[in-house]
Amino acid sequence: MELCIGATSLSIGRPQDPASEAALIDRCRKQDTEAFGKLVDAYQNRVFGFVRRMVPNAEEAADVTQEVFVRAFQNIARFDGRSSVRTWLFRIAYHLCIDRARKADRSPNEVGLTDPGEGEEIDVPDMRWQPDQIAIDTEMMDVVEGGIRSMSEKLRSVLLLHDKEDMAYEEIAKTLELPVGTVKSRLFLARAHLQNVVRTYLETGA
Amino acid sequence: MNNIDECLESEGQEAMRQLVKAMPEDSLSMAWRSSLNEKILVSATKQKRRRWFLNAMIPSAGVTVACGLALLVMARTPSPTAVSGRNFEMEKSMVSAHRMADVSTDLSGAGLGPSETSDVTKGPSGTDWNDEADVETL
Repeated sequence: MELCIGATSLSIGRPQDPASEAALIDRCRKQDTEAFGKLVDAYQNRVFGFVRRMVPNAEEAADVTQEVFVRAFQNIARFDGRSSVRTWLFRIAYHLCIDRARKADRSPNEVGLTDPGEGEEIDVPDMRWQPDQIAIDTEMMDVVEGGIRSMSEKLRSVLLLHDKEDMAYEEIAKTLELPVGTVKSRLFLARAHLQNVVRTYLETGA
Repeated sequence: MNNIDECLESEGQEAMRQLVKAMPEDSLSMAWRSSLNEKILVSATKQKRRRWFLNAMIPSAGVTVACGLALLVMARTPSPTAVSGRNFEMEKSMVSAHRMADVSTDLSGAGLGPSETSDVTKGPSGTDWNDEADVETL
């Protein structure tokens, strides 16, 4: 039962279909490290992408991501399959990130859960029609990354899980153990904050 | 903000969704993966050891506890104790009464069997001792 390190390039970032994933989980429950390696292959980049935006730097994010998978391996016998593996992994990741943030006791100038203000219009150019510009504009990406980092973890986690990971509201609610209504309102506030950041950037002469 | 769903589908919100979606994907190095593999192997070994320990030690512990309890029970079994003075007197009197009864049985024998007895209410030659006339003659 050796870990198949060389297999990483085969299925990175490609989650399994539910049936094969269930079979994989069964093998993982028997401490099959090779099967667990496949699970890591499928989710490592997605989990890392989430964690990297939840903790201050990439090095710490890599450590946290490792911890996510080690914890998953240690506790896979307790995984009952009621939620998907993705939900379970992101839940572990979220809790580890929150624990780190609490320990570090940072975030002096984070954006809280305040409403941006009723009746306040945020005029942001609709960029749906300029996908090429979005893709190549690395400066804009830095602005967006900065905007995301300046949010509270509560808003950031919902925004990343919904808009980056394409999770449904219900799945996010399960992952973060929140009511669906709270997920929606946090998503709205997170996007509104990002709109403000982008508008400021555009107005100050991009 | 009456309907949150409508708000979330507004153009501005949708534009932010597209922006977030367009953020570059992240990837991890092979060194990272190798390090993770090592950690998982260490964890797997620890879990195996723990399982072996539990499998071996729980029955052993059970047997040890059972033996200990058995020894404890055996050690606590009450030993014969001397009877107190008053009870000893009673015992003496009971023993002496039994001995006397025994001696008297030895002396008198077990008694006569039914074939060895005769009706004493009648005389040696069929005389009826209960006869009124004879009684008066005595």
